Amino acid sequence: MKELEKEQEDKKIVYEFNSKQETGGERSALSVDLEEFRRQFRTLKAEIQKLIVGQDEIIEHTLMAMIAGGHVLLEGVPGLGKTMLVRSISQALSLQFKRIQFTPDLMPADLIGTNILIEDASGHSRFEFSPGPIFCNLLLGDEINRATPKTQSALLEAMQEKTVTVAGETKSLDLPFFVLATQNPLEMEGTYPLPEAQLDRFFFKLIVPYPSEDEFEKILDRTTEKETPEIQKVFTGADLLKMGQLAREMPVAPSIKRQAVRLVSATHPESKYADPDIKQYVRYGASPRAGQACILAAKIHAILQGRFHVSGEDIIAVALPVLRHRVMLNFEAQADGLDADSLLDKLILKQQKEWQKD
Amino acid sequence: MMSEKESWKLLRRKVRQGVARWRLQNCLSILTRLTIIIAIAAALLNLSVYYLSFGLSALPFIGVSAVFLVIGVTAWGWGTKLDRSRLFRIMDHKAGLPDTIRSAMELRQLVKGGWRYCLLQQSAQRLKVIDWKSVWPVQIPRVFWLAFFCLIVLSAGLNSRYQAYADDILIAGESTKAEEKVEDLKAIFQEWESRINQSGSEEMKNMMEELAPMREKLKEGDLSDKEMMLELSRMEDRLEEMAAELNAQSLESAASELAEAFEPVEGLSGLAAALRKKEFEKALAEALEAAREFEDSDSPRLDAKNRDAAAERFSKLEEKFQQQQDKDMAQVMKGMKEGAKSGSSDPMSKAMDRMGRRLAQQSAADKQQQGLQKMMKQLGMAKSQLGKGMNIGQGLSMQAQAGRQPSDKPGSQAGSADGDNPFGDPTQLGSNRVLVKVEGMLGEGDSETFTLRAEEGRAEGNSGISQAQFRRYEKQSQQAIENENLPFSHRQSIKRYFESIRPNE
Repeated sequence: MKELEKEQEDKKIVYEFNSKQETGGERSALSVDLEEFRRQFRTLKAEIQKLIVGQDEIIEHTLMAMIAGGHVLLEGVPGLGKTMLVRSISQALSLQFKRIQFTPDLMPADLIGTNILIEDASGHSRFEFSPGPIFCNLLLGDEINRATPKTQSALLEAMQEKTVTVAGETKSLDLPFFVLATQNPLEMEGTYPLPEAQLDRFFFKLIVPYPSEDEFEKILDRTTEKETPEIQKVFTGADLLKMGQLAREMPVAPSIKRQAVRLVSATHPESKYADPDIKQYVRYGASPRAGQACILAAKIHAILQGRFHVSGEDIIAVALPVLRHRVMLNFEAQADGLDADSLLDKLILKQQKEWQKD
Repeated sequence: MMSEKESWKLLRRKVRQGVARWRLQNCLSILTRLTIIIAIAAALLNLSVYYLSFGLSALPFIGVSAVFLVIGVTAWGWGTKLDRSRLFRIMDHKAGLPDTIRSAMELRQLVKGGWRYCLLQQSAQRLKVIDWKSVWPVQIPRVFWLAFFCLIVLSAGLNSRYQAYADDILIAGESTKAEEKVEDLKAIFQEWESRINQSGSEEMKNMMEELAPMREKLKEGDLSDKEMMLELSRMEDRLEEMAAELNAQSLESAASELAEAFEPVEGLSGLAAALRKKEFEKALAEALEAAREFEDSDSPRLDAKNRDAAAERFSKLEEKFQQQQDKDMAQVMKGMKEGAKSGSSDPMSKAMDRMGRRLAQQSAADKQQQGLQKMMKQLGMAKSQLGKGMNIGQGLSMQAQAGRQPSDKPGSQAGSADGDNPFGDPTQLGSNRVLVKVEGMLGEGDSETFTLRAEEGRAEGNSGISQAQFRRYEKQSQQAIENENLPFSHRQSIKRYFESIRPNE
């Protein structure tokens, strides 16, 4: 019942938005909608920043991914506030939040749920589905690389199709559904690197940096005093969906799309746009999902910049978090101590210069 | 707030201005690159000319090619059709806009409604404040001026070098012409020699012997234009003398009088007609025929009443020939006179026999005269061409090209003389009318004709050359001799030529 109401509400929002566009006031309505988009984004960000100090880019990118309906993989050493960030977002958006601590003995059923035998009052037994923690709006997969590939793979369907299949029965997840996963780059013992298919399903991979001195000081202030700030509910998941809908309408010039395609193609060692470094150190380049993510993220970035079109700058701005987990390096790169970021930084810089060339 | 139409108009205007800016920049860029390339080419050419003895015959070609290259490349640069997307990207970059122009231009047709309006309006508002001149300054690069300066300096160097080279070409060309003239003269002399051998004329053989030293000099190439001209003039004089001698002995002037005298004599009407027509070969045959006839038959050849008059005519002609010291003809007239007086055929037979011999000589002399005339014409032509600076063969061939083959016979229609005499011989009328001597106002008898010829001018065409000019030419000729790979004989010719035109100090 609750689901039905939510769905109707979502439809109403979309209808209102479309009718605004079709009426005489569509021109000003669009400007107003985009302004509202930016305002909501700023509000949400400000609310999260009540608790999270610094990490501007991380917060911004996480919100962008959520508006685009994508999942985020956060990588950083313990204690940088990854879990706190996710929890804050869930509080601000009033989303149903669940956290799973990934461990090597975690099984897929622990994640998605299972059919259990239930005996009723009359003594008849029947199987009833007991949903797992995945049935939520915002799932925090803590230390996701500690689970076995079998368990990690249980997330594949949920992340892409937003459904779960148990005992041959497919069940839809509530929308919006986001997976915000974290992983610790230091402790590699007993970890299972995420499979390529799983990585590809993450919209962004964000590297959470260590806070600066000022930020550190502020963190101390906020967390060691008597009162800690409380996150207020800013708007709902439905508003987030509406924002995503609006962002998808943003037009992209064909030549800009081509630039995005070339950028993604340039990560493939066999491509004609690839750098010598890419040819030497990359095993597999980014998939078409990277292109989709690039354009979607660029659209949101363009709206946030106050534009009515996507530019090459927007693509450059979002390229690194989109590409860094989708480029598989070869052994030679590891031997030479190179990581994907350093290679992609060079590639993006080169592409940027080419685009600006007269 | 601007309407969508206004926004689009403003956007288009700004884009057009941007395109013009790009074209201007493109032209300047191409011009600069071209100037650098030409300057490098000029530098290499200079190096080649001064240090590697590079031939300069291709210089005019290179010059013309360079001009066409500049025109072509400029047209190409201005007319280059740039990829629209790239052009808009450049304009965005210059204006510091984040792909605003590109997106607006590309998306105008693709999106509708509010998005298009907002997009165009935002783009127009951003472009409104853009002044292309300030955000996209188009200036001639410094390197252009540097390359241009180098090009001017190098071109000046090449030009001076080319001037010297052009003079070298002139000298070499003159040398070649002189050689061709010599070859033509050699051919003419060879033709003369074969003709004289055929005719067997002793006088002509003597003349050819006189020509031997000159021919020797021609063979050695040891004859300047000036010397050649003098030799040809001398030879022409000699030929004229011979022609005058032959003319003096000719019966041509007395042919009409002889015809009148012979006409009343029976059996000599054919001879008279042939003489009147100046057909000496026919006259010869008629005379020999008459001699045989007179010998065979002793019948009187004149009526009694005409004998005195005929004798009188023959007597007058005898006197005339005696005055002309033509003893043969005087004897002929004497025999005829005796025959007319006595009415006997015998003296007339002998006279006709003698007349026949004289006519045979006349026939041979006629041929000789024709040959002499031809030789004189060839000489005249050769001299004329030498004076004009053309080679002799070229002059003769020009005549052939005009469709006029040299011929001794006049044309059959008025104004169509086809001989090599530019004025033509008298028109021969195509009728059987008898040629009648016209009695003129000046008295009886044939009027004498004199052809007055101006004295041949001395070949002093080069005497006007100044000392300074001469020294310059001589210096250039020496440079040409040193630098160019000329045959030894040409070098000698060049040296001799300059010696011959050296002005008096």
